[in-house]
Amino acid sequence: MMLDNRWKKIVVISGTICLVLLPVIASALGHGYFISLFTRILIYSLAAVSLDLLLGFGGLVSLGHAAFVGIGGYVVGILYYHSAEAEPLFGFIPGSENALVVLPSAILVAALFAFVIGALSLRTRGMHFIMITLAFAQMIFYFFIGLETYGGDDGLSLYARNHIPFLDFSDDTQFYYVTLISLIAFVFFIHRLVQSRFGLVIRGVALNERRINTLGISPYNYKLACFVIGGAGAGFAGALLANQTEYVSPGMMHWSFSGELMVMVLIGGMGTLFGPILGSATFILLEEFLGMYTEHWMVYMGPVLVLIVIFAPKGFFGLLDGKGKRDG
Amino acid sequence: MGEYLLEVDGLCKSFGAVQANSDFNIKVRHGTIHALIGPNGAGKTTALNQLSGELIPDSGSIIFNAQAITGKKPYYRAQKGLARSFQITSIFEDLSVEENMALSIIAKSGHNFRFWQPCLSTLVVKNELAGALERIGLLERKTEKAGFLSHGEKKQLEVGMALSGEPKLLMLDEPMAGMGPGGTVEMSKLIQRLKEETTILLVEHDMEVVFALADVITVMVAGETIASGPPDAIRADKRVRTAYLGDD
Repeated sequence: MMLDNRWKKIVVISGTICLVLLPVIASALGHGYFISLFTRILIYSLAAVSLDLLLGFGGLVSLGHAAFVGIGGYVVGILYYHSAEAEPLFGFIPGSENALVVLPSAILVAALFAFVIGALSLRTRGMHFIMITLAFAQMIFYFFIGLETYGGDDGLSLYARNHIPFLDFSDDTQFYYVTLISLIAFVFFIHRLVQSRFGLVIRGVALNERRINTLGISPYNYKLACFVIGGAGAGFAGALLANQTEYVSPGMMHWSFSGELMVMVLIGGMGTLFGPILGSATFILLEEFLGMYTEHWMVYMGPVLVLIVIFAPKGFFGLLDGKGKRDG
Repeated sequence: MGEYLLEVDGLCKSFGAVQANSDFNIKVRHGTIHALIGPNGAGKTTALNQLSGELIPDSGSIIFNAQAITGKKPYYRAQKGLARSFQITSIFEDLSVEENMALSIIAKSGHNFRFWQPCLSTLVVKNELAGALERIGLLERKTEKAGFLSHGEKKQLEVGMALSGEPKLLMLDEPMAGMGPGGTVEMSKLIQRLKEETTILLVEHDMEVVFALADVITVMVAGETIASGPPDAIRADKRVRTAYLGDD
């Protein structure tokens, strides 16, 4: 379904090969900086793909997705802090710098938050849903600003990345590959998910919720599960991001970051799964290179976004469909 | 098993000052085709929406298969065997024909929290999909996007989807609406065949179709039922002639 024509397959396969070879080429050319730039692209891609599950497949327009990225990041930050201070969180949860403990915790905590926020938000729909997810995200944002123990609005610095047996996260190339494998695994999982029975139900809910009801399926639990999976993915991305930058701050959960993720999904192609990866690459590369000339790079980004939304409603990835198919 | 599959008593529903149903009664016997007719604005669709659970009545009661379902949710009623089609065709336009049908097939399993195996290759879908598409004559077009089907084919798909839940009562809201003469004949045949399998409540404008197909007809005018009986009795009924068929 997602790779239903030759062009899409070519783009995805060649894209994967480029990403796999990137560190080798970048080191050979002496541009080691590209490795960390593309690590960031991969992490944002992961967050964007998790948002695409909600937007493009579940029909759930959430404007609070950054909150889960931030929560994932803070789990890494807070566990690091308590490990460094050698003082358990709440007096009984020991800190940790072990990625095998920290990353699953980040995913789990983000999923838990998504469960609670989703359970309440999903009682509304449409505009109200957008607003309530935004409100929850901002609540969490201000909560962390007020949390002086963990740096308040200055954020929290980690002085090292997490540890993991046999690997060295502090090595940029190794960390790049960990990120790449995580992204591939996640995309593969979502690819299977949207075609499973669960996936068909959530796509059905997005298209025609009334019909789903009259077929005898109660949509609520499916929407909630979808929201939780999306949140968990975002939490994972946040945990990786905290490791990469060795820093977490409430800025990660600001609503403007939710908006940026949404832009990435839109320019890449909503509901295309691979599109959001293209989208986040486009977004970050534009930010990086236009940002060298002007800090107001969004002035150029804006019109590009307008053109894409008008002429390519399925984003860059959707352009790979034949013309006939798009018109039909 | 009681005599009636569906017993509706004194259903009332208002939208603000507009009283859409003031006293709606209907009793549908097992294994019959029961038609519900009435002029435009008589409140037929409102009544149907209350039966399917999308609207909750202000007062009155609905007993389906010896169980009171008056305040229950639509998905609950569907699970109990109450299926419907819509006046404005309601399918999943962006999904393929087979995915549409697959959805209706998996809808009857207890839950669908299965995240890994592609839906179309699951056993439950494989077992039924081909037969279900064959029945409505859309097997050859299964990979086509449902939105690309003709109007009549969409209607057939919708009815097919309603059927795959093996409903006890199938409610069809104007299945002939917007169809050419050929489509009407096809749909009539389909409905006639379905009578073997299930009980049908048919809301329809096309009088020829109604009098040809229905075992019992209930007539509704201005929100209430004014008559109910076999086609010949309805044709002869004075009030119906005045209110609906035109006094000639």
